[in-house]
Amino acid sequence: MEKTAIRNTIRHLRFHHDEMTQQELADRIGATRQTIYAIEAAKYAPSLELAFRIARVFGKKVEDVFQYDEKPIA
Amino acid sequence: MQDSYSPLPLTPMSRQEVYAWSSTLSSIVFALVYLLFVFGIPSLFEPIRENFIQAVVILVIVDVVFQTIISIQSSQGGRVDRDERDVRIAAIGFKIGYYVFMVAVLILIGHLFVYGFINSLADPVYVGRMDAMIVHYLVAVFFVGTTAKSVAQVVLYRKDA
Repeated sequence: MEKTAIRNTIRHLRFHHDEMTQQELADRIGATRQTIYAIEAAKYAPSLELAFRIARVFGKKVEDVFQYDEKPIA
Repeated sequence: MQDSYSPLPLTPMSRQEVYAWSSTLSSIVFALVYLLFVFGIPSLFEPIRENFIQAVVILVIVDVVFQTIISIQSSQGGRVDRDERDVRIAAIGFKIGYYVFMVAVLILIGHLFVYGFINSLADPVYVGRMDAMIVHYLVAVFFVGTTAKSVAQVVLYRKDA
């Protein structure tokens, strides 16, 4: 899949949560580690539900974890 | 536990990706065996033609054993083996497989129509003798669609990896 327009700070947040591994995060939100990798690399945009679950793990709001790179409308 | 903090693509395949790979390989092997059986050069592929049923049974057994081993190994980890990304990739794979299948069916129908029409002009009872080949063509089209679906899934998984 191509890069999505949604950036995220998951790597940064994992680092500041006792260097949580991708697998630990995946286990906590009910996803596979490959999906966490794809989200971090902005190759996959998660569903709203998964985004909320990720944000809850870090005790953040969704918009603190995910940012939308809005392209200017021509 | 493997340290997955690194941004490097440390991506051993997920169970669903392994399934996609095994599905691709098995559909290609099935297609080859079948097509060699039906359309192969008789002298060159005589062993396959003679043992077609045995070859198919062996392939099915190998496929089932392989899938079972993967399933057992995955369940031992107690982890999620299928999530929304797998569902999305499967859906895209089915969509692409469906498009390829429909195109192949349309080509087949066109081919049969033109071929049958031309031959029926010369031989009015020709159409009645086409049944066996139509079945083989339809099986070939089925394999084309199945292979396209699983190849599309593998490509999507590898793009993310």
